[in-house]
Amino acid sequence: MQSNKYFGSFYPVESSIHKLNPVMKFICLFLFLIPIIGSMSLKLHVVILFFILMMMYSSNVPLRFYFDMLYGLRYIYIIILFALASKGLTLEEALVIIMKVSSVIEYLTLIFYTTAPSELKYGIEKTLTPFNLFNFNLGRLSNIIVGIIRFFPLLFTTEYSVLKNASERGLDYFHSDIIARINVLLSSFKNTLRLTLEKIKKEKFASELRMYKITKFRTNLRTNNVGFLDLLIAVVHIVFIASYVIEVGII
Amino acid sequence: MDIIFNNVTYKESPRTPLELTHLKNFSCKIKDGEITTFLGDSLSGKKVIGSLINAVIFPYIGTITIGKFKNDGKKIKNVNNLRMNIGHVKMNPDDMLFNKTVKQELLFGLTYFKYKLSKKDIRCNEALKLVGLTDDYLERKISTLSLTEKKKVAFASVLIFNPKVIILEEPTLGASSKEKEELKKLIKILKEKYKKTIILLTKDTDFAYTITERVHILYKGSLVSSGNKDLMTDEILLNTYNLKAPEIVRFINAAKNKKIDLNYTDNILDLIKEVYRNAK
Repeated sequence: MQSNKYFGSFYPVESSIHKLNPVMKFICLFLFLIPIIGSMSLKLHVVILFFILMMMYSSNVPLRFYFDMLYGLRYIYIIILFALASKGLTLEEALVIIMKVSSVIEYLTLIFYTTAPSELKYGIEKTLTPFNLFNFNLGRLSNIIVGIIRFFPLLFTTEYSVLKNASERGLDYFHSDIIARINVLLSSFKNTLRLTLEKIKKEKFASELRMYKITKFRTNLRTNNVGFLDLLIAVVHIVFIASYVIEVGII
Repeated sequence: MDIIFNNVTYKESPRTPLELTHLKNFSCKIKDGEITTFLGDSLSGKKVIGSLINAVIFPYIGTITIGKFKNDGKKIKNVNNLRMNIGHVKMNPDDMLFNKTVKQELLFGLTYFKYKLSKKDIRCNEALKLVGLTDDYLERKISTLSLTEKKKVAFASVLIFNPKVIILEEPTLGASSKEKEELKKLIKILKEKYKKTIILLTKDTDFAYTITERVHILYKGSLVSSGNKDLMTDEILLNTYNLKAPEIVRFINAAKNKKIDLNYTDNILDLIKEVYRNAK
């Protein structure tokens, strides 16, 4: 049960994707959403999916972790397909919409797997900098967003620890049948939730301590630098947007 | 209840870039009623021994036989009959305690192991008393306790259901010398009076030397040496595996190097007598 393959968890290995600048990752995410939402071209979506697959491969995170995520959402796809069929969409259109959903999920998973929680916070905060004009407390906002992203992985990790300890003291999970397991999960949920919220509070505090100094804005300078790969990936995203623009006939 | 590890390999996150082998072809026997110590540096693999005995994790290869039960990756029927005989106190109490108050934590084992006790409160008080805490702690929230207090509550939460085997993971971590002495006394009482099997998983050779009967040295997941406590008098062996010989042993060895023949002892008073006798 315990592994790093929960949506929102970080997978700590070395890779070129891990070394990308977190701000650029979020900017690319916004650029990525434009053709994904707007375009209905199957060809473009196939190319985008192939590009994501390449990024996934270079991230050194086992590919089955990404596919497990997609497989976990299989019922959602079936519901979407039924909804689309009832609206009378063609097979190609339905396929494009399914590809849109899976691209967004895989892209977000890629970002979360390859960005440490503190980098995530930094990336979100910096990307939202234009909102400073409206006097938003961006530090707090990014803390909340990271808290939401980190909630599920932390919940599952805590759940695993609680289940292990409860099992050791008589409330078994690992050798039980499905009904007993559901019972165990339900009876341990209250404690798991309380411990998860406590952990999120601690993580928030730790990330505040780790990230900021009075003299320097940020301690980890390595990831601040925008490298060649960052620019290359941004250019690829711009190319996607350009092909979308051509597709709709603006140019 | 004898515990036998038969060629056990345990891997975390197998077949991924984060794969970590905790135990490698590990075989050993833990005899009933003995105090057995697993000595090892960090990442030596001691951490998973308790969970493997308790069957909350499964070996990658091999089997662990605990009395009539077998942990070989398959589901165990009536696993609670095994677990009510095994008490596992973890190194970090935060990994172990999950209830809100001390009382809830203590009663958890009693409730789920279905002990038919009318006087559960008295049992709680006795468990707390054994580890050196008072009954004032019963209503306290776990999150407000210090690390040492949490460690004591974790120990009490295991003692309360009276297991036959007690596994202590780094029991002296963060403990003062007085607390270490109290713990030593408690372990001796548990062994001699209540005939418990004690398994120590530690790198604290000073503590282990004074109470242990059998020693297994682990290094990078493999069992490198086994024997009785005399094994801990071999400074070179311990140093090879990043362990330090007990202070009392180092003193005796230093004396032996200067041709003062002292007998090995784990009691400082006996050592003083020996030195006095030699000085005469």
